[in-house]
Amino acid sequence: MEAMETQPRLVNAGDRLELGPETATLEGKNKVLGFWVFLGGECALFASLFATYLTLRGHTLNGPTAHELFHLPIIGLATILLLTSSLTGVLGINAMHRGNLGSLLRWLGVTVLLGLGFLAVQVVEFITYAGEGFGFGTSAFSSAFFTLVGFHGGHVAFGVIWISILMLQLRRSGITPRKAPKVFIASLYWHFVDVVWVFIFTVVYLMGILGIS
Amino acid sequence: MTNVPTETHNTGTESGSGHGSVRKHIISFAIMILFTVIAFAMVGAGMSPTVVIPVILALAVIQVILQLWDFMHLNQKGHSFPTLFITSGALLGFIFVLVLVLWP
Repeated sequence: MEAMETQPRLVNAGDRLELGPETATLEGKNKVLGFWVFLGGECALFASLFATYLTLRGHTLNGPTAHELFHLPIIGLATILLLTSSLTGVLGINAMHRGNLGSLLRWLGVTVLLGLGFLAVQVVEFITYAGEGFGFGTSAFSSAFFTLVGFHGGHVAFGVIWISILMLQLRRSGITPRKAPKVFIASLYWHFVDVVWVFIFTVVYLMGILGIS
Repeated sequence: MTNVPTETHNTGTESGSGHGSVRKHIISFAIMILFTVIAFAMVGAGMSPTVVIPVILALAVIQVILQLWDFMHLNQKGHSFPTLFITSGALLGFIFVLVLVLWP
């Protein structure tokens, strides 16, 4: 924080110490608050995709059913990768609160790698399904499945790019009151993507394997 | 999970994010992994869906609350508006799902 004169004014030193550098400025506070509004909207978006999937999951049109397609090991692997990336993300924020740039960059790097691992697993999974004659247009079930799970995968990909760009910026600027809110909301986004995945693996995959339609 | 990197040059001025919160995060993470393993094991064991479905849904909800509460810092003070927004979103979402599933 050497270049303090170019940074926005701090709101309240007490808040800063209490809650971390992301809420040290009014701009930072507003960014975090605004991002929670966005996440509320994302809830509604994913809920409509879940509702669509649940309504259409039995409409397989003689194509493969969820019970025939889904396998526990590959979904388990994807889940462990994404859950672990959520932990490394929050450990990164912890490093930021301690003012430790090196540790922050390392944890964000691990988070990005785990996110890429998740995407690789999902690509392999989708290619396998395509090989079994299960594409986007196979049935109402397949369209609803690929829309919901693909939309989530798209969120993961977006998060990976977002956090990577933040890492490049952090390397130049260090942890400043202007940069910290950006890192913090990226971590909120990443945890939210993980929250959505918890429901996807439960409602889509586990309940699909149980064979309820 | 025992060799968590702990930085030695902690400035010691922060109250909300010292080593204590790292331990809390690790514990939350351990619970999430445990719940995930239980959910997968119940499905893999081929138990009756009428038993398994309510349990795995409950495990998912608890996991998500842990994420929001601990990883997304809703447990910290000054988070009443974020809590309001996310619970409104979740409530709306729950209603969407419930209505469409119960529609026919």
